[in-house]
Amino acid sequence: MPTALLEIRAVEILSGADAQDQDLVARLRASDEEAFRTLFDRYAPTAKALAQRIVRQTHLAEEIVQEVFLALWRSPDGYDGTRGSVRSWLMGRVHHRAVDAVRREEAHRRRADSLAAETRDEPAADHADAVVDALGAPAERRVVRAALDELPVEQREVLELMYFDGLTQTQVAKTTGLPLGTVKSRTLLGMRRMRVSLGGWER
Amino acid sequence: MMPDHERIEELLAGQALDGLDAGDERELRAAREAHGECGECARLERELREVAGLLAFSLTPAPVDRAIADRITRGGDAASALPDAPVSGDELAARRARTTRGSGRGARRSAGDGRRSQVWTAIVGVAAVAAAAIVLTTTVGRPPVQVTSADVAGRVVRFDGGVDGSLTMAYTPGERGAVFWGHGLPDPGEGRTYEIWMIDDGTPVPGGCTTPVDGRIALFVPAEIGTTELMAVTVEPTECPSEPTTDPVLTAELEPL
Repeated sequence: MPTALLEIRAVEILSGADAQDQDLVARLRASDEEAFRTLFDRYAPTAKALAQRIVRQTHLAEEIVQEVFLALWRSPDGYDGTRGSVRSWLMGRVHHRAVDAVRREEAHRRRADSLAAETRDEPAADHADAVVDALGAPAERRVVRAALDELPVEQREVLELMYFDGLTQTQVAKTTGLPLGTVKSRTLLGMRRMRVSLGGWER
Repeated sequence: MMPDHERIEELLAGQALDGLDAGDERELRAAREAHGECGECARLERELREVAGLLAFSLTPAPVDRAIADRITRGGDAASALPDAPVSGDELAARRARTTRGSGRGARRSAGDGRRSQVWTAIVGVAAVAAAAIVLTTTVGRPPVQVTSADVAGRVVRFDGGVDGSLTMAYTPGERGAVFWGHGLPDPGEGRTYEIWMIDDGTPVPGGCTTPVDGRIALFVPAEIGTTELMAVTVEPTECPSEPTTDPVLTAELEPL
């Protein structure tokens, strides 16, 4: 898909979902169970996939997802609408907890060595779209995958190692053999490019 | 853009991905304090966090037990909402006392103790045929029994999904055949059956149909798992179609060979 078209499509899809989610969180403040279940059905499968990708343990991933949604149910005011979308806030909390869990266990180095080679292309790979599209946010998935595919491979590699494998920038530098400064600049360039593709924000 | 915002943006990009080292975290904190109420900094932070959160959506979603949502909204505590969390006898009793609907897995466990021993006996028999490594201890109404098979080349995979019960598969990578066993599975409905699929290169390959008896399934599929990375189960007409007609109710990821 041409970049300009991708940006327009992404903005349409993402902003439409934003408005619905904001409304759901507003209803959540009145303990609306249906609103909670809608958010759970929409985002828990992606949240679990993210946690599972980082911690590599199904049970721990489910525990992290549960903690985040339990916090949402108990304290919906913890979400501040002025700081971003509901979905990114949820995924941010899941990511943070998952990375914390991995680093706490100090299993990080062992995992990184064995996973670095095998997992870099996984986010863009899709082995079962036909049967899993019903599981949470398929429109968002297509948009984000398209944006990732548009990234230069060296920028995508750095983002994926940090985000999906939970590596710090220093660890990415060690894993890839790149200078730390290069890792930082590729992180910035990759994030800027994704920001334009996904948000239509011009720099 | 001011030159110092370039550096802040670089730091914020790393922070949004939870990838900053401690020194950079300190530098970012100091820079933010120095900037005070900086609208540009806040905007950059918001936008970069937004992008980071969206990266999660590139992953194939994982099935989640919807009972978690039920337990959260009904006031279940964090531990009781977890499937398969190790539970002590005291904790189980405490949960049983707290649970009024019997919808929690802990409650199901306690209610199904009598049945469980039979199910596990069947599981162990089937799993031994598949040469999977299973160690099992049961303490229901008799002294503990431990059963072990020694072939550690076998793999045992548990399916996740939005239905009650449990489905497990045992197979040996590179060898023909896989064994499935399940318990506590809901009846798929009149004229319906469960169909197992192996997802190869994005294409669902049928692995056979099975209908539970008293919630239990034991099935041998004479197929080579080979390069399959994902297994799925759907509810299908009893004709057992060659392509899925419904969304999966259970899935399991397999480790690559």
